[in-house]
Amino acid sequence: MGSERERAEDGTEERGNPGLEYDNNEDRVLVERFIRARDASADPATAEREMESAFRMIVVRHQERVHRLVHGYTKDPLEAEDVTQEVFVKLFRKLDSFQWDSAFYTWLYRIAVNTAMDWMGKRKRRPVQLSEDITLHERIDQTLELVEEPDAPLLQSERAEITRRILDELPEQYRSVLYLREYEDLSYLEIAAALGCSLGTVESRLFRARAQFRRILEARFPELLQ
Amino acid sequence: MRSSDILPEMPADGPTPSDLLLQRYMDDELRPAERRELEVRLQTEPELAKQLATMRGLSGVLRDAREEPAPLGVGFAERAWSRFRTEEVVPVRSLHETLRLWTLVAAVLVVVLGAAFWLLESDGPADLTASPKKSEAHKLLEELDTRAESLKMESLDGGTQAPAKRRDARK
Repeated sequence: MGSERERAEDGTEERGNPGLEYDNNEDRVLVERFIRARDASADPATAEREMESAFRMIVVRHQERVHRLVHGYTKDPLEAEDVTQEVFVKLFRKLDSFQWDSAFYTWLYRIAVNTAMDWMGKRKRRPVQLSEDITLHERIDQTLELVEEPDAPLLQSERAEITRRILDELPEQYRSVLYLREYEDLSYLEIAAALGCSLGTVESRLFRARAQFRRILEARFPELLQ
Repeated sequence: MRSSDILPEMPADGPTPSDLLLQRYMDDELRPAERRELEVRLQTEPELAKQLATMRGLSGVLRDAREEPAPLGVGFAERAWSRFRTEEVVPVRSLHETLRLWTLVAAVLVVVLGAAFWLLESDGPADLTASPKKSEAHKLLEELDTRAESLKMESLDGGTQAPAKRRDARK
C-alpha cells in the first residue's frame, strides 16, 4: 500500500471526482481579472465594471454548491442566502491570500464551512427559542406524529426527515465531514483541504461520524438500516 | 439480521485497519491494485462482505436524505456584489473609530497618571490624610526633625560652653 498522500492522490485521479468537473484554471483567470481591475489606477468606472463582472461570474459558478452546503447548517432559506452572501464577501476580501496550491473551490468550501460554523456559534449564543428547546427524541416524535399510519412503512420523505434530524444532532465536526463526503461527494483529499485537517483525521472522523450516526439510528429506527 | 450483529461496536480507540480499508473501498479511495485485492477477499470472506453491505446501507440512508434547498433567488450575484461593495468600507471606518477611541483612552491615561504622580510627589494634604499610618509617620518625622534641630542647637551651645565648664572644673 502506498503512502497516505500517494493513495489519496491516486484516489483523486481514479475516482472520477466531481470536483474535477470544475475548471480551476477558469477560476484563476476570473480571480486575476478581478484583482487586476481592483488594483488598476485607470478609469474607476471601467475598473468597477470589470470587478463586478468577474465577481458575478465567480459567484454564479459556485453559488449553488455553497448554498446547498450552508443550507445544510442553517435549514432556513433566508438565513442560508444571508450566510452564502457572507461566504462570497469573505472570499473576495481574502482573495490575495490564496496561493493556488490547492483547488479554488476547496478553499471556498473551507470559508463556507467556517462561516456556517460561526453562524451556528452565534445562533447558540442567542436566547433559546421555544421551538429549538426540545430533545432529539421529541423532535423525531414530532416527525412521527405527521405519519398518518404509524404502523405503515415510513415514506421516503419521512425517512429523510428522520435522517436529517439525527444528522443535526451529531457534533459539528462529524456533521461537516459527512456533508462533504455524502452530499458533496468530495474525496478525502478535498475534504482535508476544505476542513484544514490531515487525511488520517478525515478518515477516522468519517468512520466515527458514521458509527455514531448508525448507533442513534439503530436505537430508534433499526428498520431504516434493513 | 440487524446491522449491529454484523458490524461490531466501534472500538474505543478508533477504527481498525480493516474498518478503514472497507471505508476507503466504499468511498472509492483505493488504488486499482488495492481494490482488486480487496474484491478477491470479499468473495471469500462473507463476514467482510456483510460488513461492507452494512456500511453501504448506512451511506445510502444518508444520501437519500440529501436535501436540495430552494434555489437562490434571481439576482443573488448582484445582491452579493452590492453587499461586498457596501461592507468593504466598514473595516476602514471601524479602524478610524478604533484609533480615535484609543487616542482618547491614551490621553485620559496620561492625565490620570500625571495627576497621580504629582499628588504622590507633592506634600499636599491629600497625601497625608489619605492614610492614618502616613499621617502618623509624618508626625513622627516632624518630631524627629524638631529633636534633631534641638540637638543641633544644644551641640552648638555645648561647643561654646564646654571649655568654660572645663576651666571651672580645674578650679
